[in-house]
Amino acid sequence: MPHYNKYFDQELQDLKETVLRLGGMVEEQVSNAIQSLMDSNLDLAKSTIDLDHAINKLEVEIDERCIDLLALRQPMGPDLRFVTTAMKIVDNLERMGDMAANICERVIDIAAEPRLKAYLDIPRMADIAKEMLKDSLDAFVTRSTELAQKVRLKDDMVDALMDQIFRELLSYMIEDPKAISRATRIMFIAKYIERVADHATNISEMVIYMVEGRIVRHTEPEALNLPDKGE
Amino acid sequence: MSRMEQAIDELEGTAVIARNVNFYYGIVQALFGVSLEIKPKQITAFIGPSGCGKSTLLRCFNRMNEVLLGTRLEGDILVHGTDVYREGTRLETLRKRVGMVFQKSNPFPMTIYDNIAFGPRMRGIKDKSTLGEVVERSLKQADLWHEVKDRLNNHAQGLSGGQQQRLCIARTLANEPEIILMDEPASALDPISTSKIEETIQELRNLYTIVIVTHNLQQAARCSDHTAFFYMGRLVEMGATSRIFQNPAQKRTEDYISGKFG
Repeated sequence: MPHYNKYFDQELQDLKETVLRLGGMVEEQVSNAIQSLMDSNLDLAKSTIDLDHAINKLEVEIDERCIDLLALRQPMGPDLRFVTTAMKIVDNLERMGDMAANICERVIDIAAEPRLKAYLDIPRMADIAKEMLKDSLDAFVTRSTELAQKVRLKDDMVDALMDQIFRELLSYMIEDPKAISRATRIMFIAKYIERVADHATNISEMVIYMVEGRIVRHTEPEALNLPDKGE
Repeated sequence: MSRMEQAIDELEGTAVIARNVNFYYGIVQALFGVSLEIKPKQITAFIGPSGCGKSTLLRCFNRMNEVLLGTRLEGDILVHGTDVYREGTRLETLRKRVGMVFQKSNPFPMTIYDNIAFGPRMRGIKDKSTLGEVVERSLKQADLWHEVKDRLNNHAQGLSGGQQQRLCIARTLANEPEIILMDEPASALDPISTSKIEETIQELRNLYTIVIVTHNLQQAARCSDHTAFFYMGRLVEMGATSRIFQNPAQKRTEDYISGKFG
């Protein structure tokens, strides 16, 4: 339903599209970071690190735009929830961008050393994390709390994989102390991926707030049962 | 009403009760089955588009609508438990209990002091020192004392618009009302005077029950505890102000506060 002021509508739409553009950039960065790890592709790792500044720049731009909207339009109700959610989403996206760059830095660190067997469950964990990121952004666009809840539930899988990877890396290190340097960096990478999943979870929780006005952070994911809004 | 009765009423948590109120201007119905409760010593804002009935309901609380011919009310209005439409209700007494501040400041054509002392004098207070105390206390509560204390005998119309409005608030306070109704009290004022009025309203919280009608949504959001949204003569939704402005339950409320149509 449109606002009385069509320019306000346009500003909200622009904001949404820009958040999605940032989301797309972050998705690509995370993908490239994982790819550079799998292929030991140093060029890809370096170019990914170089692109992080573009994400930072866009994040600041969106932040300023949100502050402008709050100051100049004084949005209320769903608009207020949308703008404040957008601010928090871009904050999380920017952090994910940092994680992608951090993964690439570790990829460069370990490139000189022999590869440590296969990367255990890291590809699986990365797939889930990327899917969570994509779904959280889809939930934002489509205002789907159902999809947002699914993302929240998946975070437990990522955490479980993280624990498993940690145990396996630990046993490598016990068996072969020479592997400690590599194994530690792999552990970092696993942790970065796990953080990406955490940020995707944060985004999903904010989407639930945006749609329903309910703050679900720091609570267990649950089935949703809210009454419909009356006409 | 005795102190005890009032205390009981406050414990029960209502200053005003409107029960199934229909209101008519001649054959035009302005309110349709409105029921709500106003919490004592808190600030309640009435919002809604022009013609939604918010001012009409406000004026029902002290029967101010009756100055217009051909008006009619069905249902009950209870002020601290008393049915104000009961036969034999003295309007002067009612309007002393339920004071009112209007959109346009309307100081009497007399001095600042006399404006404030007017009500108390009507009630028979003649003692100079008592009157002086009432004037000082009322002006202080309305946050005007420091600006006018040295010129109490100046003509009230020499004050600025915002000061005049605070004078009118002080004049209402001098009658020691239980409830203060404010109909767009700051809509004709500049932002600084508006802030002053809003600050005054906030300072009167906990002392008086205040009901404010405003078209300024930010004002309702800033200075009220509860907000009631009216549309086409009906109460659509009433609740805690922070909830109404962040997450209203009704679609109509949501559209109105976010400036949407359809």
